[in-house]
Amino acid sequence: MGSKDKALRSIIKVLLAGAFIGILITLISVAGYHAAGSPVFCMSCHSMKDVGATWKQSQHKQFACIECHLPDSNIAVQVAYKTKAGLNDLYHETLRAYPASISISSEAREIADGNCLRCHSSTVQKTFMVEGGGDCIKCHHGLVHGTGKIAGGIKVE
Amino acid sequence: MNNKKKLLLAGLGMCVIVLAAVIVQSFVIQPPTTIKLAKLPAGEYDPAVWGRYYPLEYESYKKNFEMAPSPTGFGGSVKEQKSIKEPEILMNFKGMPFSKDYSEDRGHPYSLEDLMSSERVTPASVGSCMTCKTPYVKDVFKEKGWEYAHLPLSEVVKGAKHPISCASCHDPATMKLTVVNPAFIEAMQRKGIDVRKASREEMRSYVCGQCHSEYYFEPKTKRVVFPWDKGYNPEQMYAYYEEKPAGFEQDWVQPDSQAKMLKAQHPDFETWAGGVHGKSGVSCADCHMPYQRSKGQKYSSHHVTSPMKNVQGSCRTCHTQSADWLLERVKTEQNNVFELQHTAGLAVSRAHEVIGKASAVATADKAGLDKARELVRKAQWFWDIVAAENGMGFHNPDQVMNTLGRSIDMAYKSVETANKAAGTHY
Repeated sequence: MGSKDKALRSIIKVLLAGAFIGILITLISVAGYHAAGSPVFCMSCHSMKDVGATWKQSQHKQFACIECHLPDSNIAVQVAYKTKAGLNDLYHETLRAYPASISISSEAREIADGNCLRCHSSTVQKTFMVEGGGDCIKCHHGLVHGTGKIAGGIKVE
Repeated sequence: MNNKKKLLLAGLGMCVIVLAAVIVQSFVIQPPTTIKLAKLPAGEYDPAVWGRYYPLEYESYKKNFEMAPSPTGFGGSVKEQKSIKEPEILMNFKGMPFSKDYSEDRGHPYSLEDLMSSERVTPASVGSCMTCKTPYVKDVFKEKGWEYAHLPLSEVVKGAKHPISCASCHDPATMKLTVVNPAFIEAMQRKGIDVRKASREEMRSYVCGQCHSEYYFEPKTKRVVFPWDKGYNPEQMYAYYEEKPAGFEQDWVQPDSQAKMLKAQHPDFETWAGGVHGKSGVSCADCHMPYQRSKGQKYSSHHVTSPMKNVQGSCRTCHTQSADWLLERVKTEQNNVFELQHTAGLAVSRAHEVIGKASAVATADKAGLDKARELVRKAQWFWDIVAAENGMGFHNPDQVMNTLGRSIDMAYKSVETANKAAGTHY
């Protein structure tokens, strides 16, 4: 065997290994990204237990959290937003710095409004609600997460 | 290993530790979502003992010692005479103890202290005055029934060591909500409601309603009775009193007008019950004892005061407007109510004065004067049932405005009737 062959085989080996690692990383990232988009993952945080419980009783329980709470945009925008929101959540969850009842920020409100329209735009697009730059949640705010009250209150055991 | 490698390794190690700590803190260790039951013995009335087992609730209860005004300028927990802002109180309650001492109430922990230091309490005061001031009333009622009501207060109160506290609303063995005031239980029974079968949601208002209500002392027995047989609104309660229940006709006689008067007492529960929040199933505790968190753990605040001290927790659970906007809204409502309340109070004062002057006319028509007295009695009831309430109208703004409007109308009708009877022009 000549040294030329040896070099070629080395290159092929490196390429194959690289491709393998690349595929592995991609698979892990995609799987991780998907797992992190599941309601189960969202509700694994203590601060999300109440909103999770109200969502489960709502008319929109067939939709995952991210279907309303991630921007209706391309994957790059979604990944960027999820990273930002995730870091914010992780910070507050770790320090236990969250209020008794969580309310939506104006940025998150715009995102959720956009997702309302993703499905419901044909119903409302020709009405004052959309033409006037309406805010869906302003009127429909109790739709998914109710009034923030948990039936039965805090259990005593 | 060279130093560079060591440094890299140490850095990497630190990152792993921090990451592990964050993961453990966020996903593994979770704050408790339930409260551990401590079975306390019946008759344990010391809140500090309860506090050993329910520390978060007890810490918030202790905030009731705070004496602070409400951000709206009405209510709050600072002990000051109401007659400073509303001098009509002195005229309208002339001849009875509320003209001597009528101050804004302080928090629950002061209930016994403020009862015993009140100028309204005299050696003649009876045991029923203690009914709402201490959970110890449960023992007294068990032992003596309503007998305690006509015994001297100074005697009955001896056994009361603790003010309104945990046991006033909680069963020590189960922590379930419970009511201790027998008058409330009986009044609800007469309405066909068995309080023992009430839902938790209902109990979250009943525990407050057992005391934050209108009542009178039955003349002979001195037992506490709630005038709810016909309904909760001012007209229905007045109609109940018009039938002279158990011979009860009046609390006192106003000396100027000689009218037989009723004194209204803090009808917070009744006012709320017909208001938009009450009708929508929002309980007293929802606004006055909102959920809070300590290190992530959720608990009900036991700092029972004006919800406007915590708009975020009290209002914004349901209302999406900003805290400032909500506070401003409540201020507007309460300012409107106060203006009309003051107007009504002054109109009633004028009626007492005019009837007094008209009565001095020897030729005055007696029946006409009696009619004027009847009108001022009702006018004052309609003013007082609003003025004695703790929410400055917030618990039911439209009903309160209606009540005050009618009070003003009746007060001027009383003036007109008295003048007509005596042929005067006061």
